[in-house]
This record gives sequence, C-alpha cells and structure tokens, in this order.
Amino acid sequence: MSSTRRVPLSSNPNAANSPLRAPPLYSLQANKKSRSHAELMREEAYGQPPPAKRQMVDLGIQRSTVSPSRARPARTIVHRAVSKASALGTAAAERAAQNAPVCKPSEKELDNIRQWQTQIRARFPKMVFYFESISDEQRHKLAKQVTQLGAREEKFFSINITHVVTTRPIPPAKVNRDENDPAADGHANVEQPKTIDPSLLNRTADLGIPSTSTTSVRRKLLFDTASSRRIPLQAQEDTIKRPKARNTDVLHRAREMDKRIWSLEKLQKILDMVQEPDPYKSAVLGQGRGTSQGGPNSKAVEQSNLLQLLQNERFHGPSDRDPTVASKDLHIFKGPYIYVYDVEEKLKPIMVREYAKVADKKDGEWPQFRVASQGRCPFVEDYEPVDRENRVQTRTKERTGKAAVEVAAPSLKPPQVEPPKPVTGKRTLAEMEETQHRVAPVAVMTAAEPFDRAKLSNAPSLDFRTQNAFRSHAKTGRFLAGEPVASGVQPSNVTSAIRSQMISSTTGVLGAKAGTSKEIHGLQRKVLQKASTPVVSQDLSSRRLAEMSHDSNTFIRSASLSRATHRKLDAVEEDESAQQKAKLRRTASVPVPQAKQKARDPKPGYCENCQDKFEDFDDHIVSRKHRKFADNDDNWAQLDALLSQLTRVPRYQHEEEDEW
Amino acid sequence: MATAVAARRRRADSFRIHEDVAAMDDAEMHGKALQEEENGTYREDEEEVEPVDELESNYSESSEDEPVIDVNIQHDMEKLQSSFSGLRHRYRLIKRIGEGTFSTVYKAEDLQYDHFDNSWDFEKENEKWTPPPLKSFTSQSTTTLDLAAEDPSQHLQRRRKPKYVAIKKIYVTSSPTRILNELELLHDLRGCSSVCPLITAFRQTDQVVAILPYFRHADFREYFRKMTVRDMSIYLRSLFSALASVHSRNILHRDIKPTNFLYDPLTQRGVLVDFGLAEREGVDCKPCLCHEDALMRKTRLRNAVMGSTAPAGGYPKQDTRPSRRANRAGTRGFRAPEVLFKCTEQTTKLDIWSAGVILLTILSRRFPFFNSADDVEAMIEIATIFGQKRMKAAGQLHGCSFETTIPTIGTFGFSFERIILWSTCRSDTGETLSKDEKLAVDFLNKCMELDPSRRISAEEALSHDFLRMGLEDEVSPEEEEIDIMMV
Repeated sequence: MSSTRRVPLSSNPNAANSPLRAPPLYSLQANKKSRSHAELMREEAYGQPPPAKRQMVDLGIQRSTVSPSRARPARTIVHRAVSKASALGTAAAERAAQNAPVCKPSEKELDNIRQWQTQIRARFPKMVFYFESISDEQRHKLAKQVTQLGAREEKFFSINITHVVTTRPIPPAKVNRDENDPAADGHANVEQPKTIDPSLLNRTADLGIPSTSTTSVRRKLLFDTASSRRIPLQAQEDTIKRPKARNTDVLHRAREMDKRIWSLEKLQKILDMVQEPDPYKSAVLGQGRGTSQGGPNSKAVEQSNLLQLLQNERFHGPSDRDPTVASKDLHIFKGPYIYVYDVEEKLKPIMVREYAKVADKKDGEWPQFRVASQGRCPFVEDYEPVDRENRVQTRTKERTGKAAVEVAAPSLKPPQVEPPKPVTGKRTLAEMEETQHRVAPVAVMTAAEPFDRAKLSNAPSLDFRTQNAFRSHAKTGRFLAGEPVASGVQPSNVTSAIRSQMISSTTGVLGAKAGTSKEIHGLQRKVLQKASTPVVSQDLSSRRLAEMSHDSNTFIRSASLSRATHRKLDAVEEDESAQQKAKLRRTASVPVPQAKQKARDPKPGYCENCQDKFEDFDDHIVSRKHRKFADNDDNWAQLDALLSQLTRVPRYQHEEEDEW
Repeated sequence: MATAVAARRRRADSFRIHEDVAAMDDAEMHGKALQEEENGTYREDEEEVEPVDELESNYSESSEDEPVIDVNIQHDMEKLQSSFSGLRHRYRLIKRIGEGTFSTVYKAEDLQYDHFDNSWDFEKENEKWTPPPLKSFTSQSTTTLDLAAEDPSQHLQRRRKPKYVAIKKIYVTSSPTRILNELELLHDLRGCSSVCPLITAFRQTDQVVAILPYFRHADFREYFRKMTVRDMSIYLRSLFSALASVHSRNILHRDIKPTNFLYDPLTQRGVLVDFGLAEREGVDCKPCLCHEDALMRKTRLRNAVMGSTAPAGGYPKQDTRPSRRANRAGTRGFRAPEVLFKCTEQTTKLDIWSAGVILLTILSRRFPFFNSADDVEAMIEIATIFGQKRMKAAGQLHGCSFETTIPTIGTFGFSFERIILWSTCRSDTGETLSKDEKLAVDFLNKCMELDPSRRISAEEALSHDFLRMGLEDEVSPEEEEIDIMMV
C-alpha cells in the first residue's frame, strides 16, 4: 500500500530529502532496528521489498525520524550504496554546475587526453564496427577512418561486432546486473557508461574504459543522475518490459548482446580527437560540444551538437538520409540529369539540370540529335515541313525553288532515331499530352493560353508535364488561328504587351518561388563589385551582369521551371524578332501617323552609367541623373584621351587643323 | 517590413530586366537581329538611289519585299544627325544595317573621304589618286561647318563613286569603360590583317560614335551551303589570319561567329568585326587547374576526390557556397567548353573553338549547328558529340566533375566524320568523305579540341594543310600574306 505510493519517487533523488516521504510505520521500524540495519538489509536483499522502495525507506528513516546524532552510526552499507548513486551524485552535480562555464583544459585534463588517446588507439584494433542507419558515403568514410586506426567494419550485424554506430536514438540500457548495488536499478538503469551521450566524450574515462578513478565515477554518476531526472516513466516501463517481448531491432539486439552502441556523433568525435595530434586541441575538440561537466549542461551540449550537425548537413544533406525519400535540403535526381560541379566542393555547382524521365529517350526534352531536314540545326526537331516550306518561301523569291527541293530532300537520320519516321514530333507530343489527360489539344490552343500556362507554372505542384506544355505551346505558336504561320511570325492580335507580360509573369513566379534571394544576391554582389572596381571593363558590362545572374538561375531554379522558362523565352525571343519584322512590314504599308505612334514604344533597358534599369530609353537619357553623368567630363577623361588619338588624319598638309 | 517587400519587388523587377537583357544581350540575338536586318527587313532610303547597289544586289540587301524605310529608323537617324553638330556634313546616313545590345550600326556615305588619309581603305588601291578639291576645308571649324558645307552633294558629284562607312552609334547607356575597352582594342589592332579598322571615333557628351569602313558582305546563310572545301579553306584562312593577328596581341575576341566575320564570297575577303566583348588575355583571371601541369592537377584532383563528402545523385537546394565566376561573354552555341566549365583562366584558344564551330557548320551544312538555348544545353550538345569520357576529362582540366545520366550522351560520342556524314545525309548511302573533306575534318578536330592547351593556335592553324590548300599552286604564301595585310 505504502509501497505503491512511493515507488515512483525512487526515480527522484530529491525525494530523499522530503520528510513527507517517511511514513510512521517505517519510522517505528527504523527506531526499533536502527542498530541492526546492516543485517536487516542483508535479509531483505532477497527481495521482499523492491530495492528502490527499500532505499526510500532507508532514506526516510535517516532523514525524518532519526536525529542527526543518532542517525550517524546508522549510515553503514546502505549509506554507501546511496551515496554512490544519489547523494554524492547530487552534490557533484551542484559542483559541476558551478564549474560548468570553465572549459579551459587544465594540465591534468591534457594529461588525461594524452592518456586517453593512447588508450583508445590501443583499443581500436580490437573494435569491430557495425554502422547502422548511416548513409553509404558516410559509412564509407567512417570505415576508412576506423580501418586506419586498426579497427574493422562489419557489413552485417553479428556476434563479432563490438560497436554499433547509429544515427538513431539509442535505446535505453538494460537493467544493471549488479545486484549488489541496488541503487543502480533505480538510478542508473537508463544510462550506462557504455551508452553515454556523445557529449560526454571529453571525459576520458567514459569511453567504455572501466576506470577506477573516483572522479570519473563521480562524473558518470552525476550524468546518470542528471539524465535520469528527465527520463519519463514510460521509458522505464519499456526497459522493464523489454526482456519479455523480443525486439528485433538491431539496436535493441545490440543492447541485449551487450554491444556498445555509439551515436554517429560520438564516433566522429572520438575519431576527431584521436586523430588530433595536439592534445590541447584535442581537449578543446572534446569541449567543443559543451563543457566537460556534461550533465547539467546537456541542453547546451545538444544545441552545439545541433549546430555542428547543421553545419555539416547544410551542404550535403542529412547524414542519415534515406536516399529513397526526397529530402528537403537535397534535390535528388529522379530523371536524366547533367550535373557539373566543383571537384573541391568549395563552390556551387557549375551547372545542374534534370529532365523528365521518359520511356523513349528520343522523347527527352534535352538537346539530342533529332530528325531534321538538311540545313537545319541537328539538335532541333524539325516538326512542320509545311511550316518550314512556308517559311522558306516567304524568305526570298529566288530561293523558293531551292526550298521546294529541300523539302523533298531526305531527312537527317541520326543514329539514335532508328526508323526514319514520317510522323512529326509534334504529333508525338500531342499524343503524349493526351495520355497524360491534359486537356489542351495542341491545335485549338488560343492566344490566352500563355497566361494559363504561366499560372500553371505558378502552381506549387509544378511537374514536368508543364514543361511539355510549354514546349508544345512554343511550337504551336505557328499554328495559331488554325492555320500554319511562318515560323517565328505571329498574328498581330497577340500583342507584344501580352508577350512581355508573359515573360514578366514567369519571372515573377521565379522571383516568388525559386530562391530569388540567391539570384538577387548574386546580382547585388555583381553590382557591388562593379561599383568597387570600375576599371575592369568587362565587369561593367550589363551583358556580363545579365549573364552572371542568368547563370546563377541555371542552377537555382528548379530544373523544370528553368527549363520551361527557357523554352518560353526562346519562343518569345523568336517571336519578338519576328514581330519586329512584322511590325516593320505593317508600318511600311500603313499611313505615316500610325507609324509615328508606334515610335513611342517604350524601350526598357539597363543603364550602365546610372547603374539602373529604366522603363524607357528615351525618357531615361534625358533624366537628371543620366544627364549629370553624361555632362561630367571627368567621367569621360580616359575615353577622351583615347579619342584624341583617333582623329582622322588629313590627307593634305594644309588640312592638318581639321579635327575630323 | 514594407521596405523589405518593396526592395524585394524591386529586385524581382531588376531580375526580370536582367532576364530580358539576357535574352536580348545574348549575342546570338544581336546576330539574329543583324541578320534579320540584312536579310531584308531594312529598306533603302527611298530618296536615294545607290550607285553601287547593283553590286550589293547580289547579296542579302536585295530583298525587295520591304522597300520603304521604317519611320522609327528614319527618326533615329535624324536624331543622330542632329545630335552631332557637323556630322551631317561629313557623313550622310543611308540606312540602318544592324542593331545590337550596345549599339546600332548605320551605313553612311563618307562625304569628306577625299580630305583624309584613307589608309584603312583596302579598295582605294584600285583607284587613281585624285587631286585635292578646289575648296579648302581648313577654315572649317565645327562651328562654321554648317555654313561652309551648305551643299555637300557638289563634292559628291565630283567623285566617281561614293565612299561608304559604317557608323556605329554606341548607346549612351554604355559605360565609358566599355566603350574605351572596345575602341582601345580596335586601336591596338589597327593594321591587323582581316580586322576591321577604326577610322575615327568621337564623342558629344554621352553619345559616342565610331566610324568604321563599310564592308560589303553577304549573309552567311546565303553562301555557306554552297561552299566547296576550297572555299572553306579560303574563308577560314581569312578568319584565322585575323585571329592570328588578334591573338598575337594577346587579345581575345570572345564572339567569333559568322555574323561577326563579314565575308564577301566574290572578293573572298573577310573582316573580323565587333570587338565589344573582346578582352586582353590574363585580365580578370584567377588561376585555374587547366594551367597547372598534369601531375599537379592529378594530385589536386585526387585529394579533392578523397575528401569528397558530396552525396551522389543529388545537389543541395540551399547552397550558400559562392559560385564560380568566370567571363562567359560570347554567343550561345559558339562558346568553348572551357567557358561552359567556367574556367577562370581563359585564353585566346576559346576563339579557335568558335572558329571550329563555324567550320563544323559549313561542313555539316547546318546553321546553326548548336541550338544551345543556354549553357546547360550547350554542354549537353557538346557532350552528345564528344561523349561522357572525353567530357569528364575536359571537366577535370578545370576542376569540374562532369556527371550525366542523359541517355543520348554516350560513353565515346561520335566522330566528326560520322556527324558530318549524317548531317549531309550521306550515312545511308555508304558514301565517305572526300579527301579534301577529310583534311577539313582533321583541321576541325584540332580546332574543336576540348583541351584548350592542346587546341591548335591560330598561328599553327595557318600552316595546317587545310588552310594552305591551294596556296602552293597559286601564289607564294608570302605574297598571300602581304595581300592579306593590305586588307
């Protein structure tokens, strides 16, 4: 009855100080038997009351009912047991807490480190590691390192293994078998020396090396105490239940087999410390993750651990990543890709792009040799012979005859494309879209379509089908209004405004989504750099600037998105130049006033001198800022010096004064 | 917060702008525009009847479908003429012949040709010396010009043939440094064979104008498919002699492509133009592995691979590492692999690659040969030809790891011979390349060598059998050289 009330308290060392915990019954008993306490304990060791309860009883006896003077002689064996587990530990924890901020390795610690290094080095050859839940690369690296130290790695879990290294949480230790130390059951059942938190690695004695030094024991206990405080009840229950239900988990089995289970960080830390020749540095390494005093600072320890881990994982993704699961930090290639990166990994990838997986490689979106008629780019599929003919015809009259011959000419048959299929790629594309339940049949695509597409690219679930859509859109521009249009030329009802909006909307998407800050960052850096080194001519070019940022897009954008945009931009580029052409045609035939109106089309751009973009060229060049620059001869001094050498040389002597 | 949002929006805007610029700026666009222009979208000035037009009618300028000049262009031309006091009396603007990101080029008549030393004019040898004009121009200062040259057509009539120049109006939004760079390099290159000389240049506040000789030429697309191997040899000899002189001054052109090499198939002369992207070798360079010796490179690569922690099959989404920075100026589809790998120590050899692409284009009769919407596509296209193995090696030269799972990029790629046979639809018929073509392919292999240090130099190229084709039985190389020097 009373025991049920008290059992939970056994996990709380503070309970020992509480007078409330001493029920009268036991007080009486204690009073009676105080002199023969040791005997009593020996008898009771056979287990009637659980050890934990008995401890409480004892403590209760001491603190509550017995006056200090009387109690002193009573502290015999029990006291020793308790002091080991609890009282001393608590005291040590307090001391440790005071010492915690001091992390400068003392001479003694340096000695310890040295000693530890030799010890651990000697031990390594006997170690057999099994790496569990560790990525292949990491495992490979670690295996290399431990092999260098003389240990070996076992690919499969077996009895031969001495150490299991894992990234998963380590299961609590088994119940301590040391029956002679009853307090251990209550206090040390969670953390055994061999399974200590990696943050305690800096304490030399804790690396699974049994040590008789009192300090190490104390520390160990101190940690046990500290951590046991936080252990929820449930964990204990699990520990108790475990022997019944056999757990097949490697970690549990390792635990059962008394294998040492190290966390990955622990192994890494040990490796770091062992391999560090300078003991001082090694000590600092050990302290790097927290203070040498462990327990009370375990929160701080965890945090710095976390920082370290984050640092490591920032570039390469989590080390315990399951490669089959897409990670948040790492983009895993699913389709065919091209990936060019700095071998030394100091820099961002030079280029990376992924394409949609396709059953037939010739459906792939990436550049590849295509069926193309003579004279045309072998990397661009020659979709529409009709279209092409049309285009060629519109080019020049004298070439029309030739063009007709070309149409009849055999198509290029690159090695990848097995039979010379008369089926155009376009049809294939349409079929493809149909199978994917896409609604827009290519031929009925309207001028409004670009907007929908743009919106589509805005959707979070942007997939590669949109890319196809873009592509097909780009290609179907020629089929607008139901009739084939000469390539690159588009009907006048699609205005350039729509076009330009299309571009900006896409870039808007990019800006909103795919790491704009990076791109902008790059741009800004460029600008800053530009400002700081105005003499380097190439850097000043807006072309360069544009290309740089363009460049950074290449890998910052999600592959599909960038791809889509490129496609679209291409289409627009082409269309725009064609439109210009069309415009010229129109203006040629329309009355002048209307053409004059056209003249006021704003020409946006970038001014290198003002380092600013502008909406309209004509407006900008008369702006105050620009004029200020233009009219300041200092800005032109260098150029003027050169220009003075570039004057035309007069043909005749008497014309020498002429400056032109 | 609000400011942050605003800033963000602004950034997004500037990002958009940059994107637009990127599209425009890609020199290919420039080229396209230029070609579009020359292909018939610009019109003759309706008032003018060009005396030399019958000559030009062989070329792209002949297209008659748009005979009227665009009002906008006319407007711009007028603005230019009035913005420069005196310009009107020295040059008569005729039409726009090209438009790029940084400039517009007009064809103009050089009204005062006779008053100046015209050593730049390679055509003048054909003409007789003319006596000085009766009227002296000494008294003319810029202020009096307007009065003095009230009727320039009088002088014009005295001449048998008008002289033409190209007026390059550099946009006022270009920085003085950029302009200085281009003009300075052009000035340094004066007298170089096959390099378009600079006649003069002047400035009025922020408007800088460069006067270049007008070089009659044909659109590459008009002639490249008709070229015989001999024609190719002559074309490339002209190009490589230009490159040799440019490179001998340690200048990289960076934008070698048909559009920038004006070629006249009739006279078989070509000039290299547009040094807007050109730079001096070694300027803005950081050491790259490709300049280390092979052993050193190997050690460094091995060390890097040993210490590698990067997971395979993926890349970090949030990457805070700095990006590799290298000059990428150039035209898509013509960029050398080292540019794509962002080599930080680029050399004149990158121009040789681009020249090789031109040869590949001609040999395969496909223009453009590389579509390359961007650098990634360019890399894939090159890799399709060269195969993974060689690409990996090429990447390693610059400390890059090249990985790809794209199924159409094979291990070994294809030989140029096979590619040319496919491209010309001869692979089925079992035809092989002619002897001359094989020589050209050999030369092509040397130009399109992935390793810039092993790529042929322009100087070496000039002594390659392909470029010397036909020289032996015609003139001695020295004579030819002199002839080219005159150009």
